[in-house]
Amino acid sequence: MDMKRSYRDDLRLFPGGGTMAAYAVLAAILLALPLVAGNYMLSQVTFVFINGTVAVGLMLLIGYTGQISLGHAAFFSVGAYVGAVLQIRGVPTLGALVAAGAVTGIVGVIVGLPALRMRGIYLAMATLAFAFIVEEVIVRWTSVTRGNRGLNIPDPVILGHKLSTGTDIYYLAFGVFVIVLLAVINILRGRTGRALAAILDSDIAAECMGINIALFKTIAFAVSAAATGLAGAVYGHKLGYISPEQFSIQLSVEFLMMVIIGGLGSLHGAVFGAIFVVVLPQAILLAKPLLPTRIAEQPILDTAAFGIIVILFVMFEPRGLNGYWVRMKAWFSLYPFYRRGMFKRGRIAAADLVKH
Amino acid sequence: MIRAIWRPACSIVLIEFLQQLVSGAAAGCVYAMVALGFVLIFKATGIVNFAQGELMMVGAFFGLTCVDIFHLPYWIGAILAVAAMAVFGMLLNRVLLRPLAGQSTLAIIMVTLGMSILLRASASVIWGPETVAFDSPFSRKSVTLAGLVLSQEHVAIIVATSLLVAGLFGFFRFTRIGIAMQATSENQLAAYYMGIPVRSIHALTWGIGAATAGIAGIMLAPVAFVHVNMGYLGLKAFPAAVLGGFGSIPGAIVGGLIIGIAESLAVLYLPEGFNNVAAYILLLLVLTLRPEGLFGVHTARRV
Amino acid sequence: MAALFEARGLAIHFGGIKAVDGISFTVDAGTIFTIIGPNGAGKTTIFNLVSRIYRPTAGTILLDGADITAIPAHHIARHGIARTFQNIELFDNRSVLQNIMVGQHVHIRTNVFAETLRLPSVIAAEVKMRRKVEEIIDFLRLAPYRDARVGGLPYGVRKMVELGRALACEPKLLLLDEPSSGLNVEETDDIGVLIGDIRDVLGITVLMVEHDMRLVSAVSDRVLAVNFGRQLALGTPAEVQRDQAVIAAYLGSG
Repeated sequence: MDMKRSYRDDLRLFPGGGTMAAYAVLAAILLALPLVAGNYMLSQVTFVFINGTVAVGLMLLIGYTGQISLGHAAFFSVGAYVGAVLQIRGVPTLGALVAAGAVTGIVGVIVGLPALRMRGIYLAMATLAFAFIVEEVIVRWTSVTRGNRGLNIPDPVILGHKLSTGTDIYYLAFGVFVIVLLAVINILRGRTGRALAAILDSDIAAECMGINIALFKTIAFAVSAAATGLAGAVYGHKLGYISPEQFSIQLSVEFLMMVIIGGLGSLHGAVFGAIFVVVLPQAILLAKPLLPTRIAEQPILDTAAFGIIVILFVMFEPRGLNGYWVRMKAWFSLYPFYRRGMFKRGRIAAADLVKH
Repeated sequence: MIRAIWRPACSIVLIEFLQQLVSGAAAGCVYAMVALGFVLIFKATGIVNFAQGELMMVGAFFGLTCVDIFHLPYWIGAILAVAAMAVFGMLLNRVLLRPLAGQSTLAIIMVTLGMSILLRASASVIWGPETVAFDSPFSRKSVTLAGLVLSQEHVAIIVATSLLVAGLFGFFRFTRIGIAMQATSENQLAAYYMGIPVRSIHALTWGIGAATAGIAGIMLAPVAFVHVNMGYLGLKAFPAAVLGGFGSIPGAIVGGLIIGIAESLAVLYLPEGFNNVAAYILLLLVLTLRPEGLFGVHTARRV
Repeated sequence: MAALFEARGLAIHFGGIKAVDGISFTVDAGTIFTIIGPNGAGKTTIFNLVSRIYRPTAGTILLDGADITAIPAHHIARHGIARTFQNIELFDNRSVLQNIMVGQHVHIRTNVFAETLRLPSVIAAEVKMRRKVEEIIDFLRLAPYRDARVGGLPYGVRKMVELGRALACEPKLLLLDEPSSGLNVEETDDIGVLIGDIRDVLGITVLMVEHDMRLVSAVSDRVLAVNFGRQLALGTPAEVQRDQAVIAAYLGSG
């Protein structure tokens, strides 16, 4: 029968000692990575953290509330520009980072407000329109953004320590990623997370349970935007230079594909997606000598591969990379009893997840 | 411009306004044609096709191939290209979209977005990433109408759109298949029970939708050149469709015209940059103030 | 007995159709009040008016003497009204526990900033909420299903989960939309006992819409019969069942 443990047990971050140990090992490896990895490798992992921060924020919005955004590149750019402009004007880096998150969060609320009356495709279009408008504003507001000439960003300084090496930025990106990840986990397992899940499954029932749908959808937008803005600010520091064309509509589409490929409705999926986005171009680089020149020399080869892969995932594995992860874990824990098709029901559930 | 010197200032302003209006209407017609195919497909199959602009691009390249590479006469080449687009649309439906029946909006958006990327990449492989000129019989000619000097290309676009709309109107109003298509878009299940072959109707809709985009591409090509990224222009078809109520075909036409004209008037009267985003500002305004579009009907939700 | 809930001249018109056309009734605290009527009589519409999914064309809704006609739908739960749905509106991708926890939404007062930081106040609120939810799980004997995904459970269990979620709102007035629909005879008897317990043990007033006359007679204190959006009869179950207009409406000769 049923064994009820202390309720506090259920509230823990890690369900068991084993999981906790696994995450501790992972954290230790990531902390020690700069000691062994070369600059290039470190740089790639830094991008995984930056993408991961975006993916976690975007997953909160899409995977947990079913709202589609085609405008996250714009939030990313707002964060990058707020961070950069403040840094240039002499604001301490930590302050600039917090401001980047906060301002982007507020922009998220402003975008989220009209979004309350929309769903599905309308919301996708509204966010798309917003992204184009932001891009144009950045290009035209030359007194602040220097328009198409872009901005050079001075090295960040945190607590008197100048972050000038790739290793420094690696730790910065790592730190921001962990903070955003923990924040989103905390939100998801609390009252707000339950409200968001309720809205996703049945907004009428959610309303009857006293959930203010408008408020929570706006919160989701704000948190998602703030996380993306923070990632944008870190991205600016990583590159040391930002300009409007780095934040095109194509980037929004790639962010979206990142969470789809990773697997909707799971933070593991968000992280898998972020890793995938960084690894894919490397894999393509390796594969290039094998391809016909006509194809290999295409400038949008990465994006095209992305397009094909996202279509394949939607058609054949809607739960994304996380679906494979879940199955792999099941295979190990159920060995030798695992059989194919055990997750048929789960697969339908994942397809239902975002139905609006 | 020499003659303009002695003309009263107000009439210069008026002529400038009218010429801008016509070129805006021509651009609007292109948006309208793309939006039209978009709305047709959405109404009939429920699929939001983010690759509609890319279909337009492919149509332009098909036209270019027929006329400039195979050296067919312009009109025969154009017609062949549009027919090829219709087949291409049905093919896309069969391979990529029919398997998606019943999937979530997000899944469908992702597939059509992926499709748009694929079309762009394939076009780049087949035709190369360069910008190519594609002349039509109307290129670099103008007509003078009551003191207005109009480009024949613009006039041709407006005429072609009018003919297309009249043709589609006749098709939906008077032919058996057209009426069956309307019925299917109203209520798919009921249409199915009435013996309408819903699958073939979907295929046909994709054919018409792609052909419409192809016509838009061929008409636009002489004005804006042919290149792999010309499909981005199709993104302005979404504001057009939403303005018109997102499901209404006349609405899509009017929406396209409004957006084309708003853009070209923004060039004239608003600071630089506004013309680029006029469509999106309009879209946000409509979505905020009147989400059902200018011509849509408000529907209540049910439990 | 004091009136907990009152509807005065409630009406809603959809275009030319008068779905509900001037219904008035009072529900006394601690009673079970049932609305009956043939299909399409407007019963569920009355429910949707009370839970503010629809905005009434005319009329007033009072709870504890306070006018709640114009408040937003999401404030209804805060005022102490919870409901179930005829066709079950659960959060299918979540567990039984998570579904019922959502019912406690209005009783937790944490904000998103505190939640982000997982402050001690948030943890305390979660524990308090969890304790309440476990009481409901015990009351409805749902413990074996606690961590099961709701979408995959049998229909009868899902109905119980939905009832649990409504009870977790700790309502003064519980709206049950066709509690017996989709259940077999035994399950219907069980739910009758349960509804009685909700009134007698938990002290919650019940307003329900029901088809099954056996269940209606067994548990109802008062019955309102409606047809074509108007009142046919109002009284005890026995009185209403004897009413000529009600009999005529059910036999279809009216």
